[in-house]
Amino acid sequence: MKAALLTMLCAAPCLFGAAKPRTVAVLNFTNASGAPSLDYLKSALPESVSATLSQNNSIKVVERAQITKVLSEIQLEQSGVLDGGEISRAGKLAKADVLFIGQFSGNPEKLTVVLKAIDVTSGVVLDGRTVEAGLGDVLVRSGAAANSMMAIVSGRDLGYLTISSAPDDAEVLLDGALIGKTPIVEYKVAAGEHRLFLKKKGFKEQENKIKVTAGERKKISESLAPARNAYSFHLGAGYRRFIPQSNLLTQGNVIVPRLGVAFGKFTAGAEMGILLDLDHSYSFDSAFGTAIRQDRSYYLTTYSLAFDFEPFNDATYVSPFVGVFGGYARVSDYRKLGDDTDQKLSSNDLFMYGARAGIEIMPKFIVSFIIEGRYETFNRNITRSVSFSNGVLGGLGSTDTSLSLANFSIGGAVRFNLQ
Amino acid sequence: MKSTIKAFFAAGVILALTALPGCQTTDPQPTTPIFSGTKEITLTSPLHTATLSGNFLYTVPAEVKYVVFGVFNAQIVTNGSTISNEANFLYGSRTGLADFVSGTQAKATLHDYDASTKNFKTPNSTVPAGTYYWAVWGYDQYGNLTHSSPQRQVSLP
Repeated sequence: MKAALLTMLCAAPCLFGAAKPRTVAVLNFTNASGAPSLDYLKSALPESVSATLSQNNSIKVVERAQITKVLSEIQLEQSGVLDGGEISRAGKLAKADVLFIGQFSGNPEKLTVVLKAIDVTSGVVLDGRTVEAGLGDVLVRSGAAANSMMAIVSGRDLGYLTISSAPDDAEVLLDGALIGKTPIVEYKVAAGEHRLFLKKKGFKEQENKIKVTAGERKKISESLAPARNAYSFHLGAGYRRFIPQSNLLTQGNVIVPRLGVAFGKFTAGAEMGILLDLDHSYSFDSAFGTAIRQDRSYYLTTYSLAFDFEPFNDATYVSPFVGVFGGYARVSDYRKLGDDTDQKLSSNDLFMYGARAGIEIMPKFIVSFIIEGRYETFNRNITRSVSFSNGVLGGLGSTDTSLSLANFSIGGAVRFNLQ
Repeated sequence: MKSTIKAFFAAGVILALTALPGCQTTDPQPTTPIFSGTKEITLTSPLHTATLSGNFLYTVPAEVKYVVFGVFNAQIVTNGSTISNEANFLYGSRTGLADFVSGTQAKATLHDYDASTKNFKTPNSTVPAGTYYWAVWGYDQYGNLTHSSPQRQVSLP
């Protein structure tokens, strides 16, 4: 029992000690380019590095204003040379465990930045990097390189990350700090959980939680899906199977051309529906001893506006939607004649409306596919004229009945998403 | 004498001028189909008021699937696609009856028209002599009335 208590008492400070993050002070960089016009980088580069490192949870970063005060006291920024005594003194003044120093050379088109992390106590260089970049991105790349050194600087157990993406050249942020662009090979990270974030212009951002164990060489490969623009126009063509509620009608085929615009979670579109053969044929007993079939069909043409809502419009592969639509419909009744011509019997002008639901497959790609079901109804029933035999006394007689064109339909479409 | 001959000759010329044209227009017959808007069925014989000596003859286009031959005791009157004076519709025949032959109709194979069924009775009729009107009309495969002939007057022996 006593032994256990002693073990716990001894272990506790060790655990607390291990959990305490090391403190890093980023000193001013040295201008070795010989160009006074680049002097501003002496402070701009460490400011950028400091800002990047401050996002790293495995270390603490000393405020730059405090460091400037220290530097002026020991006049480090003038000499740019550090010996063991100065390092120890600067570290104590800045209350830092690690000093981060740098030197840059070259010209604005191609700058070379050398970064070093030095242990204050031992004076040993813990890690170093060399960055080559133009003036335009030297700050970002130096910050990323500095951040990559923190896995060692933090003193925690290390793992290694190899990160690739398709397409490559995606920016990679680890725990909120930019560490470079894909592909990244054998990047040192402290063992534990991390947040990995990949982003590339024109593609959907991707975020993952990863866990790296000590010594592990983890490979991460991400496929980036194209991002949907804030606005995008589309053209499409579809097919629906018309399933009428009335048993006087048979099922029919509807061709649907469509154009529209998507904005955020909403889509507005105009579409046309063409149903060229909605069969309502029937037979009656004739005066000639045989049953005669009357070949009859409705031609249904609709012009409608549709509004859809996509609650998960940032989905990459499947995006469900619901929507409503309404518009004008013309229904014409045709009777087939023996000489293969059609005789128009009547026409109806109606208002149609309804609701639909479905999914869009691959919504962020140039070509996407729609699968949907819809219910469609009309503001009134139409009058259906049904013929009957008048014997041998002449032409056919007819009676009128009321007919509902309300219907369900299921179908699909292909959509070309124009950027 | 000479003047008498002249007068006689003149009277003959006048008589000829007035009588000959009259012979050419003594039997005017309708030329339009009995149902307006239908295509024509051509009647072949008899075309003018005459006593029937053989069969009624007519020509039906191939697209006509069902044919009706009708005999009336008065001029046929139609309203749209229906015969109005059904009471005058006495005899006829049609596709589907055993003795019906499209294009030719014998007096002996006519049937009585039955107004209650708007169809012909099965047994053949005995048609008394008299003046009648006849016409033919036809239907397509869907039962639509598409063809008809003009009506003709005929004397049956």
